[in-house]
Amino acid sequence: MSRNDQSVPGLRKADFWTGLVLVAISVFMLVETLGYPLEGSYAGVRNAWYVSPALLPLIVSAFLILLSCSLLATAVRAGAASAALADVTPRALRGHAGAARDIWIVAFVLGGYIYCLVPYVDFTAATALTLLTLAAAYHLPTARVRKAGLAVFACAIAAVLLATFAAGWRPQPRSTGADLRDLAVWAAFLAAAVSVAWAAGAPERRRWRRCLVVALGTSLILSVVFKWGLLVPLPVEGVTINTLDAARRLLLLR
Amino acid sequence: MLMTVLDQFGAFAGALAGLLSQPVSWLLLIGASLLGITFGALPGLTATLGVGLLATLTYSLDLNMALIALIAMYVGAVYGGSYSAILLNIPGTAASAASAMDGYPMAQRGEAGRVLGLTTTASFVGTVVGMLALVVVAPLILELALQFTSYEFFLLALFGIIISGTLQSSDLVIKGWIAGFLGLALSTVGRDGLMFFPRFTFGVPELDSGIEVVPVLIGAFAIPQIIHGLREGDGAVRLQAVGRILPDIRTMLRNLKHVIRSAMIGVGIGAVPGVGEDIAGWVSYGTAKASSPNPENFGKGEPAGLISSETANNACIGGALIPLVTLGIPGSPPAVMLLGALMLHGLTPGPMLSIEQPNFLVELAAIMVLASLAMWINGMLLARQVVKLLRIPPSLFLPVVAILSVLGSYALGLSTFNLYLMFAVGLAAYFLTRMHYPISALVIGVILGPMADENLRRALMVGQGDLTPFVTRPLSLILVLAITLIVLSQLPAYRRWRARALQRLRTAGAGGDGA
Repeated sequence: MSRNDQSVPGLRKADFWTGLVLVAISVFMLVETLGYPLEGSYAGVRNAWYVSPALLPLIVSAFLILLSCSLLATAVRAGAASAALADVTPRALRGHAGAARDIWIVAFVLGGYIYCLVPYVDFTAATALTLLTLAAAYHLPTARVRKAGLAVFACAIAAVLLATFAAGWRPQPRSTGADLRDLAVWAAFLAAAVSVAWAAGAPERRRWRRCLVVALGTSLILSVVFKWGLLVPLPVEGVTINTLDAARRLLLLR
Repeated sequence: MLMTVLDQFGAFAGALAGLLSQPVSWLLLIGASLLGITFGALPGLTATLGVGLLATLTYSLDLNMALIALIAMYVGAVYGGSYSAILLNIPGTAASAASAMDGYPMAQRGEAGRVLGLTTTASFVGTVVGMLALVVVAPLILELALQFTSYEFFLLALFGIIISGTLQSSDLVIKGWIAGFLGLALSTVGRDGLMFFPRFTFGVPELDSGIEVVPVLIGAFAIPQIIHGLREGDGAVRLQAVGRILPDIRTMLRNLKHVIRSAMIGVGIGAVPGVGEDIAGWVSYGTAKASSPNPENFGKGEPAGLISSETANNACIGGALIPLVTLGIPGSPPAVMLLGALMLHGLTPGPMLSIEQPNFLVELAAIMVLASLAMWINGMLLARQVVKLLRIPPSLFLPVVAILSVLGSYALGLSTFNLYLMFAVGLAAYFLTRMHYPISALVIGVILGPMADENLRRALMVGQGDLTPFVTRPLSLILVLAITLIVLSQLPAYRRWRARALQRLRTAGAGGDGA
């Protein structure tokens, strides 16, 4: 069933691992589905196999098992099984991790932003820090800059998680502690800006300024547009939004 | 018959006048079209992503206004991709890749203004022809689709998933089918519609209502694009100088046959579920080259090549809307997003749409005409300003797109769970894309899953578990045969048999000639 006869060995090796993962997922899906009511009655409604909630998941999991086994077979026929298993050495794994460095950087920064910052701290501060880290990592792409930006970002995440853990995980009503947490993220933003500037050096100062403008400008503009323009409440409206709101009231004398 | 046509025309004129009488719709048209052109022009951003991000912002608008914004964005983004293709030799969207072949050499010769004028006019003509096809063909399909029952709807959903998986796979065809079935599997998460039984919820309350389509769509299209764009780096930008932009009607008329043929190709390819503007552009370009008396000029700055690809990719929009409006099956990846947006506004496209909203098709046609006009005006007047945005490096605008994706997913339902879902789907989609799994097939599976589930069970309930109506009802039988043929045509055994049969025919033919 191959479209490209000049199949790439790397792709077939990936197919071998993906085939295994897909077989595991579809078998799990099948086992889980077998626990759903196929007959008898559920919540007072008489059941039959053809109205069962298990019907489509059963069909889908059966086809997925068939297709993933077929994928696995194609990979094995192409000689990918032994090649893929031979790749499981510390040296080869280090090589793969190095090649996938950019994926991990973006995943770490975006994942950290989505899972650790957005639900707990001021949206504007979290966005500014994330944008600065990401823009600096790719607009000033030297190892020193990346390390500096990512280190500050990682510290900020760790601090936010620790503070949230101390406060009992669940989002709490606004408190002085929450304001302090927001201010700590702004402090992290400043620290990131300084450390990136130091790591980039004088020749890259113009690019550094651009990153700073994008990070600050975008986070403030988006917060204002969503909060007051589109009337969409932000995930956490902390110290920045409250300050902006106070300023707005003062300006409008309300 | 004449009265029906006149009635339709009257309704169309009424819809057009109604839209034009509201200043807000003017603003939305021009603004969304400009945003679309900008989105399409920036390499790394696509029409699909643009429509997806805008969908969440149109939530508070009424349906007509939301449609104006979304269609204007869609038309503008498909056209805008040609800017970077022509001026940088980097297609802004995959749909414009064929335009770079002749557009860039022409721009290098100092004809950038003329090329942009030609592109704008060809895109305008393409969109209008696509709209005409939608208006003419959709009612015919709707009439047929009104005879569909649960049997046909289930098979139609399966057909959409299978055909998009088959046509979109760039490696093994089973990867397309796996992507489609993974989408179907995702769609079964949550309480089922008939018995309210929780499936694959694992005690997570947020999963009870099922998976939100829009965060899945944003994650599946935005995250892979962001990671890929940042990995690629900024590169050196060498922008061609743009002179005065003129429509160059004379060249368009000289290439009229290419315009007509490309528009037809665009509409036809657009109507096939899941196959998008990029394929329309390439097929049309290839056909123009094959039928040209001077094929050697293609790739060296031949206006016919540029006109063909640009007309086709914009005509594809109307084509893609035909199955969307009539059957509820999106014809292209941006149409998948459009379907998600329509569902967000409580509108379920499909045969019942002609009964629930009899004027929808006419209004959609009026919006398409206005969107193509807005695109043409923006293209002629503001292209030189938009082109300046091409100097912004991806390393600065892609992080902003990431934040917009987060806000877009959150704005829908104000749930942080949507963010977790968007990111997880996005990462999975990135790895699947790297391994050549077509993401459009996956999201089509997610969208068509509920339709397949409900209609399969409803059909079986009607027949008390009897499966024979699937092959005794004529329309069902056609769909069953179509699905079977698609699957069989991809099997190695069938291919070997076909090759042998062809070989035998050739040998017999050669023997006959010899005799």
